[in-house]
Amino acid sequence: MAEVHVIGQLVGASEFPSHSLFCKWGLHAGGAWKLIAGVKEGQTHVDNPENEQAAYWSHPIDVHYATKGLQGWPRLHLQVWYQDIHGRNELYGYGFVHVPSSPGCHTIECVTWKPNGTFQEELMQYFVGGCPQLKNPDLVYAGADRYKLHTTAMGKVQIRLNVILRNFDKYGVEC
Amino acid sequence: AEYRGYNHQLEQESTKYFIPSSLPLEVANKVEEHGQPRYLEDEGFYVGEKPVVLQQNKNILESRLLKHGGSDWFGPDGQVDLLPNPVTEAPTKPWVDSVDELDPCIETTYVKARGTAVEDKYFPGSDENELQIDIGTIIFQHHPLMSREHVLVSDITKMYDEYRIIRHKNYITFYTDKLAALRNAAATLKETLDETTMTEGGAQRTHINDFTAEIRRTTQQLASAESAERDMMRRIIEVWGDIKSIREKQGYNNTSVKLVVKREEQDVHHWELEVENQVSERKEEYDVTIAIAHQEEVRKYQVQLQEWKQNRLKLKRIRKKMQRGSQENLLDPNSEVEEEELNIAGNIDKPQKPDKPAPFDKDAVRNDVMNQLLANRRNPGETKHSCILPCLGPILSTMNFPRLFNGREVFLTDPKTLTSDFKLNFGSIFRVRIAQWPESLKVRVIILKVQPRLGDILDQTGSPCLFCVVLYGFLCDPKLMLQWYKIQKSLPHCHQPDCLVTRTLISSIFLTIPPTTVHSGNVRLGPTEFLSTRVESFNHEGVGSNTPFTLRPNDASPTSINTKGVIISSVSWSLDQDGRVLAPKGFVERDDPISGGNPLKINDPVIAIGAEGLQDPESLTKWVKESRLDPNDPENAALVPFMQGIKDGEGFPFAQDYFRLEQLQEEFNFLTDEEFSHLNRLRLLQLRDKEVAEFRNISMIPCNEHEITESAFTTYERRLKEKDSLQSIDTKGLEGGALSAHRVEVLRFRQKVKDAVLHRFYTSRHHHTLQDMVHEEQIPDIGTLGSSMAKIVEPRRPLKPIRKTRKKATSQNLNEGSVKILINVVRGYNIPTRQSAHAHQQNRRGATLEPNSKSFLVSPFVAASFQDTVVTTSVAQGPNPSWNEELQLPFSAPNNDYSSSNLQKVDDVLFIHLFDRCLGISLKYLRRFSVIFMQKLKVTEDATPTDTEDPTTIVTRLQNYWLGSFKLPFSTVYQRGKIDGTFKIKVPPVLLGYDLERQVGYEHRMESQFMQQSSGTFLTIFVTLEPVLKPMDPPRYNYFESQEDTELLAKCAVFMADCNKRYPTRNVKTTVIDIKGESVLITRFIRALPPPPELIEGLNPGSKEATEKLARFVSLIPFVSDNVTYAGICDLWSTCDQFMQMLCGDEEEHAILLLNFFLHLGKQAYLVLGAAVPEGNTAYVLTLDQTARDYTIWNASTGQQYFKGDPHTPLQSVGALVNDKNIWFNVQRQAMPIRMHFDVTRPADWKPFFGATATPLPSIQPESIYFPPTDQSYVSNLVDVIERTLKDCYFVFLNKIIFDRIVSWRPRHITRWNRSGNSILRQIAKGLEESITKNDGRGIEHNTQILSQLGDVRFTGYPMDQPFTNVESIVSAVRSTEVHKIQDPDVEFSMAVHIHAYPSSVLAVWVYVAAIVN
Repeated sequence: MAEVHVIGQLVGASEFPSHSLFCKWGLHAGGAWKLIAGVKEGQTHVDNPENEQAAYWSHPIDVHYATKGLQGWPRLHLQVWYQDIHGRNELYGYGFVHVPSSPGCHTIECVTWKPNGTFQEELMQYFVGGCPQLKNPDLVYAGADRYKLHTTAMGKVQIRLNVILRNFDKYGVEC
Repeated sequence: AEYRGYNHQLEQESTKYFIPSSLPLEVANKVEEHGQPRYLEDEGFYVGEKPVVLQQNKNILESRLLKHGGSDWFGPDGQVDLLPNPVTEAPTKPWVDSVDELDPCIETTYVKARGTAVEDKYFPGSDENELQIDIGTIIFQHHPLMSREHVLVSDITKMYDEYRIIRHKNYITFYTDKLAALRNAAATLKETLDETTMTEGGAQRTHINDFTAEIRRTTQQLASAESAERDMMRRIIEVWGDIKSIREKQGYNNTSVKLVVKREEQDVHHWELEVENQVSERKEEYDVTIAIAHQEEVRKYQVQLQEWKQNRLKLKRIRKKMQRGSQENLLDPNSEVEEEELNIAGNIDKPQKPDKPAPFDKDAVRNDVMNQLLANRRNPGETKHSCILPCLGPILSTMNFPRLFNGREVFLTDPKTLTSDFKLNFGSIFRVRIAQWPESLKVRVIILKVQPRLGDILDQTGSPCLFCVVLYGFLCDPKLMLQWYKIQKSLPHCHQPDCLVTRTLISSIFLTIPPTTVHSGNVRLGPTEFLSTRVESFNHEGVGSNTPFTLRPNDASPTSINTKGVIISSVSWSLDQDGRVLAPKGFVERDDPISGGNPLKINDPVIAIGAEGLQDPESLTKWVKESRLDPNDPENAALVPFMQGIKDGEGFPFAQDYFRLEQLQEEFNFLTDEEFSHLNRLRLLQLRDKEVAEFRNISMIPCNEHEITESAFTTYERRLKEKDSLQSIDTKGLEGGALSAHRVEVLRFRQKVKDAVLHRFYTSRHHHTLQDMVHEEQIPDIGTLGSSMAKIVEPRRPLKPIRKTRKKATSQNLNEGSVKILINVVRGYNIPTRQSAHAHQQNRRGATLEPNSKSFLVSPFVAASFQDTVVTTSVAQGPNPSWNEELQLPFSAPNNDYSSSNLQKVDDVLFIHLFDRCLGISLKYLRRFSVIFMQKLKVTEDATPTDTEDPTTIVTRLQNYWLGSFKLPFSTVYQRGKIDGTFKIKVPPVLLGYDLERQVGYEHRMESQFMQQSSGTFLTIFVTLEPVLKPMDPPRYNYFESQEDTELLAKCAVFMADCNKRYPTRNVKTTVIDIKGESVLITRFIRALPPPPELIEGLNPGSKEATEKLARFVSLIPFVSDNVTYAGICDLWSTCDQFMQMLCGDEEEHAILLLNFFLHLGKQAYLVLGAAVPEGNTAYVLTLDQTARDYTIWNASTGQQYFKGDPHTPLQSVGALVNDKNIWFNVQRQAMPIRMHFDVTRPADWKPFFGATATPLPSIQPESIYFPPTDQSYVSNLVDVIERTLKDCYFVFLNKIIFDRIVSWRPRHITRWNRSGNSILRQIAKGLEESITKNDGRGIEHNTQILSQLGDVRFTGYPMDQPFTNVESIVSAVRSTEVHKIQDPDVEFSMAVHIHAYPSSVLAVWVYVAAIVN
């Protein structure tokens, strides 16, 4: 049984237009993967530092997978949300990264993007908030063609992951 | 100015000016560093077309730029960049304009910024999901207001419907036609057969045979169809007759049903023809089956005969030949063979001639046929029926009054009046916008009854009724709620002050939430049945519901019908203007254990047809067809080809072998699925993650597969197996047959309830508030600062210690051995004293011990045992000793996990035993040695003489005699933090050799006055944990659903808040949680219930004996704390029938059952909510005499009663009294029962919940409980089992001791059973149950009885009684008496077990153990 143990944290986010952010995250793995322990999805708190242009969550991730194959290596997908002064939430960006496949400590930056709406929607967004969202959020990490999707680049999410691999060498996978 | 020459000027200028050259420059100069130009165009880059500039000018420019060092003006090819770079710095993307081409899977929706936190369960794009619920009609098949006539009419209608269905199917015509056709065919076939010769008609004959058989079969079918129809008809007519007689009797019609019986003349001739036909068929059949068979047999016979005859001839010939051969003495080799042949031939018997079958008796057959026809079919000239049901107008008058639920209703239909046909047409369609997947969708049918007040009752006979239907179960959006509140507000004008409006819920019907493919365009109304088991009875014509009534006057046994009906409704997703379905799309599926029944999950093929199904294209295609997947959903991308194929009607369009959900997965797998599923480490990890009890919080799991042995799973697997066997019917073999069927049933029920409850609470526990997540320390303000400053200058008072609260330890810091249980044993009262008889006996033998020495009375000490550890105090003297000692017991949590949820489940019990240490003198030696050696008395503990030959040594032995014990569950200690008080010790009713009621000496008189009120032995102890563990937070109750009225719930909240403000520590409850996890008003639990009739048979219901017997019965139901059962969730209250079914419960269940019994006896009784030692918040029962001055408090779970003025009542404070009508909160200053008034009518003392006059609300208790008699054979079997187990255990105990002795080099002893003692004890044990209920002085009497029967012996022995839970608990109780530790070499043991069986498998187990020393 090959095992992958992912321990780490969502450190924070930077370069977003505003900094009252929280993040919803999830790990998606293929059918050959089995979650042995840990939570594979969650949501951070809202962080709004007064004197820094970033948000810090330090949200722990601790997941233990067993796998019988390499297909569907776990992916970490994120949604960064913004909470405004009225306590309303709006989407700020989608993003995903693969969990590193080499053991050790990794600092990852996940870039995020958000879909552009029509002119009217942009206008609404400017004045009353809200955001166009994907009807199907799975698209973020699924390999569908999204050429026609208009997006805006948003900020980056810093992730620090420690990956422990077991028994992969036993099955002829060197890492 | 001085003139300088032109040349000079030029010279000067040449030093100052730079004139760029127009000659071409070296390329190397222009290209940076390496001097090799790159030609981008040649490399394939687009460079654009440069504008045309004269080469000369370009050269000038270049040389000028070069002079100035502007090398960045040159491109890589050494040319000046004349144009901006065509490649943009920042990438841009051209606008894709064609929106219609947009792939639907990347569609975006605009979502407004929302205030609520987005939960997982929300749909994306939630505004678009709309459910449409259509409530059509409710048809009551039975209703409490129906009269007998109605009931009959509903019967007749049902039957008529069936009849119509039968008629519609028209089997009779079908079979008649078939029969006719068959007969025709058979006739024609026969004709042709007759024409052809008989010889070649073999095939045709079989054909005819087939036909005859078919005709016969059809005739039978026809007969049965006709008989069914006739039967139905007969029943209809019968019921109709009943209806008519009822109508005649009452003189009016309630219903408009009319039975019209149509007479249809039928030809008598036709009937006769039918008979003839059938007779002839029988004849034919006879011919065909029997006659032909006979002929066949005859033919066969003749053939056989022929053969036989030939054989005979041959035989004769051979015999002749043989005779000749023997004469010639020739050994012909053939002769032997022939001889054999001969033998064979000779052995063939002559074939039997077949019997001729009985001839066809035409008359008999005709009679038979006619009888059959008469029985099954219509008589000649029978009738036809039809039933007409015209509707009359409403009979009852109405009034509208809908009802508010707990704020989560989403819709209310208009109330409708019940009409005489018990059919209500709502026809209302309602739309619900949902943002969250609904957990349930429920329709409630509610009756509103408007009853005029007293004055009007005489005028009006029938109660008007109306219904409303409420949908329930969503969290709906605020708009909707607003609308709903508007409806609600507009209604109060309906309320008429002179009417009493009662609303009752008849039934809740769950509707299924449709799959996303069902929308309002394609949905159909469907019936859903509902049933209500509510008991309703009336004194008018209405027959009521679930109450017995006699339908017909001549019926022997009454019938009872439950209210039932059919609601015709539909649920579907709405369509918008464009005809799109407003169902959630692309709903992200999550492994959510709570909403397990998410219907959206059918969209996942793996879940729908299983992983194996995916390999099978057939089933996959079928599934795709059925599930009507959304082809636009990217989730379904892999399945799209299937859908297209189906659309074309071709089935599967491409090679089937290629389809797989995850291609190439298999080839690259490290190991197969089977190997994967057998991995022990994986299994262990997963079980730990699931928090399975055996594996929870295992900290170390071996790293390597081979380090995990199979034995790690054995306990878990055994438990699974047990669970399975519990589910299967087979009950034998469990605990050696000690579990009867009822017990198994109980266990199963308990398990079911537990699972359901756990699931419910798991869901409700996931509601977190901010306080759960964020712990905010209060910032010190000026007030707190001031007080802390003032502390410094406070005068020191070292003689007045102030209590400090100990710091609560968090579970992280705890480890094995760091937690201890501290027990401070302060003192004891009224401990039984040794009987003087012993002293006399010993005196007789010459051992003079000072009879007046105090130590002689008793030398008690206390032993506390917990988790196999025992600690004892020192030995004190006298019946009222004072120890004041602190004992420490280590505590270890299971699996070393000190989290609160785990500690909650600890079901270990702290035992506190009281022993008497007695100086036993071995009589053998006493006889031998005289008194003078007494001063050389040597005490050796647990010892026999080391040197028996030493004549100067007298051997004494310290023996511990058990006097009583006292149990304290760990959960109680844990919950309460500390336990402090004086407790009554459970002393066996008979203590051989001890006086329970001490003769009071003169010097104790003062004390005795204080003690006289309370008999029994007491211990003052203080128990706590060190360090204090943080108990689990109680669950918040507001998350539970409730069927109670919202107003009532609000009132409860106000009442509770008020009470808590006045006396925050007093225990009061208004609503409690029932077993379904719903809040229920506490008064609904109380209702007079008849006790088992066997118990109070022949007793005066008001007598003391009857009450004590009932208390005894209730106390025998095993006690299990809710904390342990429903680990750490909360206190659940079950109704009495559930309690009796589960046969376990905690204080409240016992108290309620006892209270309900008392109420049935006509006593004035209340449920006391209060705090007691050691239970903490608990429930007791209070009975008052007529004047409310004298009272008795009952502890229902132990059966103890405490009278007025008893200072040792465990009940420390009374919070509230409850009966079926009201709740009274104690507002007196004192809460100790001894200092209180129990007159609830005094508002100064008691604050009522409902006001002074309150009518009892409908109870949730059943009207009566059935107490099944206990199986006697089971009981006797159980006695055997216990006795056997105990004896076995004794051997084990003793062996253990023997082992100890071997270690200390002592001789071993065997266990001897005193048989005569056994039988005597058994006799006594039988009488004990009676004596305890009668509470007479049998104890002393029987002491002497034993003494007399066994002669000159010494005893130690105790009868013990306890409710039966399992055999182990009995064994441990017996063990705790330590009778087996008596080490006299001459000791003999006696034991008897008696079980007194009460109804409902409530068993009182008496174990009498005694050690007899001769």
